[in-house]
Amino acid sequence: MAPASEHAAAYQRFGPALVRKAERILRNREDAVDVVHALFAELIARGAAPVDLPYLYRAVTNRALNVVRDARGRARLLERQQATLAPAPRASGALVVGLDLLARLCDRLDADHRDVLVARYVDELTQDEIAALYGVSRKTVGKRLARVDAAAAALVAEGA
Amino acid sequence: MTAATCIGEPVSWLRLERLALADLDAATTAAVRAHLDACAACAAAFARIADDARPLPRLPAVDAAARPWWTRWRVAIGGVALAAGAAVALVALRPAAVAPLPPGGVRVKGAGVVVVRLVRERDGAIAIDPDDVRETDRWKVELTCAPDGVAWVDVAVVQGAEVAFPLAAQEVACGNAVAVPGAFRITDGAAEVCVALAPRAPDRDQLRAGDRRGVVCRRLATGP
Repeated sequence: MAPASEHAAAYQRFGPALVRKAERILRNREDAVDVVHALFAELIARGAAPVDLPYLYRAVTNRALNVVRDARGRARLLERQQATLAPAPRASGALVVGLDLLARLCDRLDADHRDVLVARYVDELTQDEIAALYGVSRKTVGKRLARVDAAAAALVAEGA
Repeated sequence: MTAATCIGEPVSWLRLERLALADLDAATTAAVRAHLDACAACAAAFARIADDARPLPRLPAVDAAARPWWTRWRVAIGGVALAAGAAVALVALRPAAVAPLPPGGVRVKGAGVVVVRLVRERDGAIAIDPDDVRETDRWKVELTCAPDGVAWVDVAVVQGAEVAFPLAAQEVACGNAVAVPGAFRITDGAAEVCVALAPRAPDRDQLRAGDRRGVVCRRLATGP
């Protein structure tokens, strides 16, 4: 069992980065802090082994998306979202995933595709980085990304 | 907002964070720094990280001296929690086959008697099982049950015909005044907060249908 002090050290070191990541999904700092705090509280309670930033990135994605997927949580997030916490995409022509679009895509995509959606369009990871982060091939990432893009395009077309 | 467009492939936020933490190897660090020197968009993104120095609330299990508000209330309700724990113990010791439940308690397979407390934070003041709600209040749920037990918890906010679930259903290890991870707010005035407890993920359709078996509910009036 890992001592709590190791997780406390990881929390101090990686916590701010994880809160910023959660903010990009949830669009408000209060919920982002809650997600990160709860994650570390659970790691301590479980006596989990020390973890690195990539692992924590995945864990925060899961927890933040759980909030987005919950109907009540989603309504609250949409009401409280702070646009300044959502940097514009830096890649030319990249899909802009606002909270509303993210929520609606979550309804249509399974967990693997939701992970790719966030990794690519919220965290702006390259396909190679996504492959390494989730332990899948670059080809798999490409397929999942194509599915994500198709779902996003369908949603946009429906809204047009 | 980062308005500029990257000159090529943007440096991911993960990589920028790892650069800020000096968590990259030398070659990658050099490559990222070279990109930042040439790319205003990515340099601005990195500056967002460098400029974001807000502190985090401390972890309660590590530092009991300076807890965030959602753990400070554990101290405030210590007496109540101990009383609840004592109630659980007394119930467990009773010789009767079916002991009466304490207020706010339900019996859950795998956890025994679980006592639920609804905790409200309003303008920094903590209240246990209060009677009213304002939109600015922050809410959490606490459980007290015998150590080694485990229960699934789901929280429902009922307002008229609408039933909402502000937190993900989750499995919670028993203890004394264990805070269920996550906090929530209640908008639109009066509500009934119901906490469902079960040995497995509670059935939300049961809650939507108004079935209150294994559920502890508290009515909240619109606050002043």
